[in-house]
Amino acid sequence: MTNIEDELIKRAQAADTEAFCQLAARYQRRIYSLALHYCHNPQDAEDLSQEVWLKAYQAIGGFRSESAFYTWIRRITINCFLNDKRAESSRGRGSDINIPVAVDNAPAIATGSETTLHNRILFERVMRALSQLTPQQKLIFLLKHHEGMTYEEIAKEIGCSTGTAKKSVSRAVAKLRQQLDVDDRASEYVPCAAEY
Amino acid sequence: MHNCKRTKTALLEMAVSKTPPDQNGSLWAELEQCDTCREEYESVRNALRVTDQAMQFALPAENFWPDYQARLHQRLEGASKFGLSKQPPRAGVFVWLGKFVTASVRVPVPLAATVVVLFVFSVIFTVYSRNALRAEPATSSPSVITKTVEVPVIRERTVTVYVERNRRTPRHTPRPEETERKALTTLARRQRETNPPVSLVGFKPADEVKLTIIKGSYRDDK
Repeated sequence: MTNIEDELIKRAQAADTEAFCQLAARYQRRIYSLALHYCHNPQDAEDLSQEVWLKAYQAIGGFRSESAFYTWIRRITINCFLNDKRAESSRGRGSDINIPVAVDNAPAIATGSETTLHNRILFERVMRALSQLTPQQKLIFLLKHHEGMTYEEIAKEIGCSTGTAKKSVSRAVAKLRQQLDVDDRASEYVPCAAEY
Repeated sequence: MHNCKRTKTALLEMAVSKTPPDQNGSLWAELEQCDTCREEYESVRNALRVTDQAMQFALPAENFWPDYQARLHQRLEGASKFGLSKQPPRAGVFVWLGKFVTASVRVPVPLAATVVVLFVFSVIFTVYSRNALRAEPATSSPSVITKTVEVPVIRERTVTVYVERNRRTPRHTPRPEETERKALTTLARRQRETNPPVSLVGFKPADEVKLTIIKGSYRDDK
């Protein structure tokens, strides 16, 4: 924990909203990204991620610096996600996945219309694959692949066995492989618009 | 010895954790040897790479974040106004109680299954027995049956016998002399009763003496 972060936490604990917002700005992308991949919908992702920050703001008085701030906020995120019903409602709606609005104005990534279309198709396929998993399986995969947590850490946070965590990741990868249908030449994968 | 199934699990872990294969020497050697495992690894790695690429694409642009931050700030301000900003610090007991209530214990599946089965059986048994108790009065009305049963009774009779003992007169065993004397007395009395008393009137003494000797006793006569 840096000194600046430590200072921000102390101010936030004293109900300084501005300090808390500065603290949130450091991690909001990661939390939003997790929320977006978890519930597949930008609007739901924003609501969910802001709910996480709101709960963190309410509970920051109890933060005792026993762990890193991000570890603490991630625990709140996991609880918030598991208690949320948005991901459950999106489950099985493979053809109903919303493309993020923000994608349309992402100049850094979308260099051309063909690439944008390609990425959009890829994203839809990934989301379709993940939507076939239970919210818990999806969250376990995201925590493993995106957050780099160990199976033991995931099991402890989620409240399941390490075997369940491993199975969830294995199942998620199998679904992704099935949906993406990738092979060794995947790096040259250029989907045809007519295919979709 | 190479085991594709075991290697597959390790490969998945390596690909998901994004660990470079050369960091795991033994696994890398196995990949070099087995074509199937190498293809499997490449396939998983590519699937995850495409997934990353797609997810990266989905992230919002930079101009999204100021608005997001403003909305978050607004929500936090709103929460502060309604007094939700700070959670009162919980006392140690409540923290402990909260941890106790939310604590979970890992139970082996066979044990858990056994407990569940036992619970289900007990519930079924309870419901069944309760139904049986309820059904019984409806089917049979209460009736009183009188039966005479002979039960052997042991009667005891108490007989009280009073035996009087004259303690004042001690038991007297007559001595032989006394008995003899009594007998003589009795005999004399009887003779007196049967024979009237002899009178000496008209007695004349005889010239000769006739002596009769009687030997023995009255007992010998008998």
